[in-house]
Amino acid sequence: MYVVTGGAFNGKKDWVLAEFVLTSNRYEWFDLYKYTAYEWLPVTELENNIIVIQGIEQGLKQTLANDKKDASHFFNQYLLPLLKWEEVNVDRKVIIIGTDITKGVVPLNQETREWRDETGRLYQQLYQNAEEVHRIWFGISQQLKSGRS
Amino acid sequence: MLTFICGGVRSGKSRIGENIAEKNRITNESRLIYLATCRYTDEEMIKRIQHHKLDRRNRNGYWITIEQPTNIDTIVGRLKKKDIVFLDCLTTWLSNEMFYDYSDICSNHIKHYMKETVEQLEASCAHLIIISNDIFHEPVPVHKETYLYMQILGELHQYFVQQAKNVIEMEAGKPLLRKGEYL
Repeated sequence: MYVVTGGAFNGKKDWVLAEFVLTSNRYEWFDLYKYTAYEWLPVTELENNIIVIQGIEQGLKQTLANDKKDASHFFNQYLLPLLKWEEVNVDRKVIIIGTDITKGVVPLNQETREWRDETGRLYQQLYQNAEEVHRIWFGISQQLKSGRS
Repeated sequence: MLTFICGGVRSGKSRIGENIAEKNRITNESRLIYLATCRYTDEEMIKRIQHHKLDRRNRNGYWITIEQPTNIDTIVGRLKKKDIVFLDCLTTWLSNEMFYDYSDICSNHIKHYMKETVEQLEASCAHLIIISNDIFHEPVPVHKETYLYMQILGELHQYFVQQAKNVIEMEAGKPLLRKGEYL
């Protein structure tokens, strides 16, 4: 799993396109900002080797609203199967893009507060399980992790 | 030459920008021009403006302040080739452009105008330093105008980071070099 994070509107998507995707024309892109229903991970039906999930925090938000569960549930339920799928073949790559929404003023709305907390927890879990973690700052990348450890 | 400096509030962006400007004065012919985009909206803004003004007065006498919340392109003709221009800051300039008269916002037009103006400013002086605020690490507001504001500002940041020779991220008074060199 490759994790790409950074603030909103910092060029994460363009960076992923340039770095991972353009060299391969066979990929599937799930944009959770546009399509938030979470049947978005039909692991058994994936046909391409590269899977990109954009806006993972939005997927988490849906799960929190619908399942009333937490980040760890979300990770186990929806991301672990993907990671298992990725392990089967070395050409397979799961790329997850998540906006860092964790550094602002405490939100007034309780649901938003919970979502923000769980997003922080989810990102720690992503970081631990990732092969690489990259942070994008207005188009400039910084690698925070390389190799599983 | 373009230098882009970005960081949180009160992270020392202006101070480092002013230092760079003062250190890079070529000769006595180079004027240091402080291009202030703030509007006097209320007491708090007036205090912030006075704080920055006083700061500059305490430094030395080289600074010339031009207050220009919008129509920044109009000052291009007043610049000289050896001037160092310090634009403080992109965030207030963008909000002035977007929310000045509550008319419909045409984001493409604003983006184009601001990129073009920066290009003209840079071409008309020795060194243009732009300051901006990093406001992108919290849940993106659903409010339409705020969303649009963040979207445009993010795009402008990416563009200026790409165009600039030097890019500095400020973190609690500590400059982190992202591109180019410390000046």
